[in-house]
Amino acid sequence: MKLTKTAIAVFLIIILNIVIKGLGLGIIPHGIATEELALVSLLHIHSQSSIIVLRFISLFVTTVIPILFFFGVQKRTKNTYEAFAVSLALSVHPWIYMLSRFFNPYIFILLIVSLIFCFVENKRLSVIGYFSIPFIAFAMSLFKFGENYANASFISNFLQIFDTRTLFFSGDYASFYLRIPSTGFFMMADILPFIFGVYYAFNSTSWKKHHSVFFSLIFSGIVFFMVTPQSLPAIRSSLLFLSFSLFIGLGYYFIAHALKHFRLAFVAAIFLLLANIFFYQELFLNHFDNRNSTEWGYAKIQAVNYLKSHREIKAIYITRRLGNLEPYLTFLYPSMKRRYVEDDKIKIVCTTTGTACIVTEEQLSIFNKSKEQVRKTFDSYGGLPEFFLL
Amino acid sequence: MKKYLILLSIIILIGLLVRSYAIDRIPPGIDWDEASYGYNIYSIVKTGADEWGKKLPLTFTAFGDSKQPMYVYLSVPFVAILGLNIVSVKIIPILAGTLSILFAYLVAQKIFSNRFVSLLSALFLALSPFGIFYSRLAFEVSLFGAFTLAGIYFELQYLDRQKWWYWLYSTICLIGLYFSHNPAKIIAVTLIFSFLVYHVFLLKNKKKVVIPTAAIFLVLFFVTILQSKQSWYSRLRFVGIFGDKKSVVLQIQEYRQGDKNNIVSKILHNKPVFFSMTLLENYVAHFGTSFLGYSAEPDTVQVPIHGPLYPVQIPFYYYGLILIITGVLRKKGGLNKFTTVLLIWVVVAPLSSFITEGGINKRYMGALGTWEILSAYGFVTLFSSLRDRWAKIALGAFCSTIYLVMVLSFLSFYFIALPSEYKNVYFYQQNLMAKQITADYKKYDQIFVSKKTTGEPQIFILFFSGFDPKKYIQTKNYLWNDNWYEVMAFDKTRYPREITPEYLSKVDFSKRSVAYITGAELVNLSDYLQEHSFTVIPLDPTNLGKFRLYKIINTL
Repeated sequence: MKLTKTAIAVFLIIILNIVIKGLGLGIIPHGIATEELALVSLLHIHSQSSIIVLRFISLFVTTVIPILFFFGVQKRTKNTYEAFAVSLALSVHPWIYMLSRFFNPYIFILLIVSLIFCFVENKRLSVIGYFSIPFIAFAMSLFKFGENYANASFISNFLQIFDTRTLFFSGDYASFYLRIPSTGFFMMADILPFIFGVYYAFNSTSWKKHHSVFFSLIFSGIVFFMVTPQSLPAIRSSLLFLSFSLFIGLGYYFIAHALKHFRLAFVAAIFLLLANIFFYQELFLNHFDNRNSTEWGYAKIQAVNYLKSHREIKAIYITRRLGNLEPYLTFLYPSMKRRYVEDDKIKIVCTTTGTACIVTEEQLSIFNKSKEQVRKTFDSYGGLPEFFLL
Repeated sequence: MKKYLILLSIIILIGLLVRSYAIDRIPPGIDWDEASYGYNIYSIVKTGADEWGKKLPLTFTAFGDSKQPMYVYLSVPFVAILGLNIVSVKIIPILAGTLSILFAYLVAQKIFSNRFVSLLSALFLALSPFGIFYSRLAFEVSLFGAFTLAGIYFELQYLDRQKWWYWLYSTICLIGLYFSHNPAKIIAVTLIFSFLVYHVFLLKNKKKVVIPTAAIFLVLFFVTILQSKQSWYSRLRFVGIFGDKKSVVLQIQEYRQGDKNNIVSKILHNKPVFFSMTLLENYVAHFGTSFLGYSAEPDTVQVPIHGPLYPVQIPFYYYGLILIITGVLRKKGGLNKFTTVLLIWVVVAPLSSFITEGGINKRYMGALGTWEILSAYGFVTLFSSLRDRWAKIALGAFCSTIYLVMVLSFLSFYFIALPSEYKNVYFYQQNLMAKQITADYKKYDQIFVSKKTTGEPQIFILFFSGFDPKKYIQTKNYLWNDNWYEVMAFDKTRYPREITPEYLSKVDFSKRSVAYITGAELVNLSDYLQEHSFTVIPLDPTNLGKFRLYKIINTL
């Protein structure tokens, strides 16, 4: 009977993860972030389709994490419902959903933590395990995944990232391209479960012997945050978010347990949770690209694909202002001959040589051209022109 | 004398010292609201009426922004004795801020019956960034905190002793709160209502108290609704999240357009959903780390860079808050009446600011005391739970060292950096201009001050000159625009919206004249001034920023 319950729970988690995280995978985000490009370049991959395959790895890993937590919680509390609630939280939370949408190395850190949580029962060993993670992260962060935030104050960063507004309403304050519109790292519906989850974690008899797990996760998360100052907030706080999701999952269980005799309230709570999941999914699937396609290189990929399909263009001059086109060319069309030109020389170079040029909207006036007179316009996903081919 | 009384006295003295030290110089000026309050106090002292001639009003019209009367009337004796100056108008805020320390001690003692928690709460409030900052400004915000704390204390006393006069004191304090600050009205009414409900449930057959409380609540409620129906609506559209051009509405439009206005989008992206989300977000933000420990750079008179707590206190605040919530949840056979009052206070306090779009800051001063009491309680509980003596010493030494460093850092920021770096926020140049005009008032026949120098420059001149209120009423010339009184002239001073060459060409310069303009106006006037032999003098030679003001004198 117990095995059946466990099997059903695991099956549901897998289905839930595939449905929620897999919807539109490979299509949304439309594009590749420069950080993702840097990473795949390290793996010597040079095709757009292989990135989609790598994103499936992200989906797989972020599906395994809730399952590992399911078994970890079940082993400690002997309560399948509680374990299911935690894995449910880890399946639907926006922060892990966002990490599942692109290929990044930090999901493997989360995977290692989840493995420790699931399999290592020896307290000392697990504490050592948790605390070794931040230092692996530190080594990985030397690859500078993301912009450099090292100069920002640790305290103000810390206070900003763990602010209620950031956590439940607005998300990553420093990088828009990793943030679902109008959504936090967690959902609005998670506020009360979070409070009750903390209460339950430290007051229930089932967790009495396992408080060290919470402390280890929290403190290793803080160390992780401290040793990765050059990473994006969404990345450097992910280990701490793992413990927050754990608390919220326990909060779900606590609330469901408290409301079990109040059917209407129970149904209302479930409805609220489902509505919140649907709300952020809709925002991600329909509005994420409109807001963030520039950072995900949508127009740049269109430009490179255009050049690839027009083999008659043998070489190209690109304004220095579009220097961030280079990673996309290197990745998708490395054989293309190109040179980056400063503002003061762009007119001479482009008009005298007759070579194709890529310029920005402000530079069109140098050539006395309107948007309609260019060879090709490359638009953002939302349809706004980003740059032009002359 | 008992040891705790000595310690409490020392804490209160420290609180008084940091609230009153160099009060005439730091902050480096007064803003127009402070000046407006000051002049209205002066007007009451001299004529018994406000600057518009209204006898002993319950609402001060001021610029049209309806200022509350409590601070004005409480300050009257000090201005009557000491005259109109920066010190006399700041005595009430200093006293209110200092009294808050005592009330924080009393409230904490009543709730927790633990001297360590109570003394620590008092110390935290004595050195609180918000407590210090707002006690040094000549407006009503420190009364907001003090009246709330006093009201809560007497309510707790009433619950404890069941003597009706404690209920009376509490109600008087909450009525005082109602008349102290516009955002405080909602807190006063909600607290009275919450206590009413609480009394009904907790204190059966207490008609003596329940009926008068209900009556007071209903009177205040309807007075609030009737008195300010129109002004609240326009105010909410201005500072609140409502209104067609507010970010919430723009966001809805963006999503609807993105979805081509389909049915799902209409269900998900609409005003009820987004306003509810924004209200919830604003409410929850009051408990966020970003507000509690760190506030952004302000362009108005608000606490810069610091939140109400020092970052080291924040974990203890949350711990204290969770202990209170779980304490209330756990209690079997009836709620803990004192902690429930604390929880009601914590829940109600954000109501005064959660419908506004800007920063939280001073509208949330009703929570002054909750931050300190909860962080003190959290710290003491954690400290006491440690069994190991060395762990206690380590925690105590670690936290007190960091706390001390943070306090010293704030004090050095406030007393050293703020006077020089935030001069513009405190209208330093406008204060200087008003002092110059006051000193040279008899030297000139006409004085022009461009409204570009600041919205209402006349108020600084009125404040620093102590201009006769009766003469001011007789000679002032004003316009009424969009719920705002715009004074254009009084006596020999003129306040054009902008001083341009055309404006100056119509001025009779055979009279002795002086004008005050901004740097931007000076650029437009440069040719005219050269042609007509004007002398241009920077108002504050030390100010090299873009908001420089200039004095121009006709030297013909």
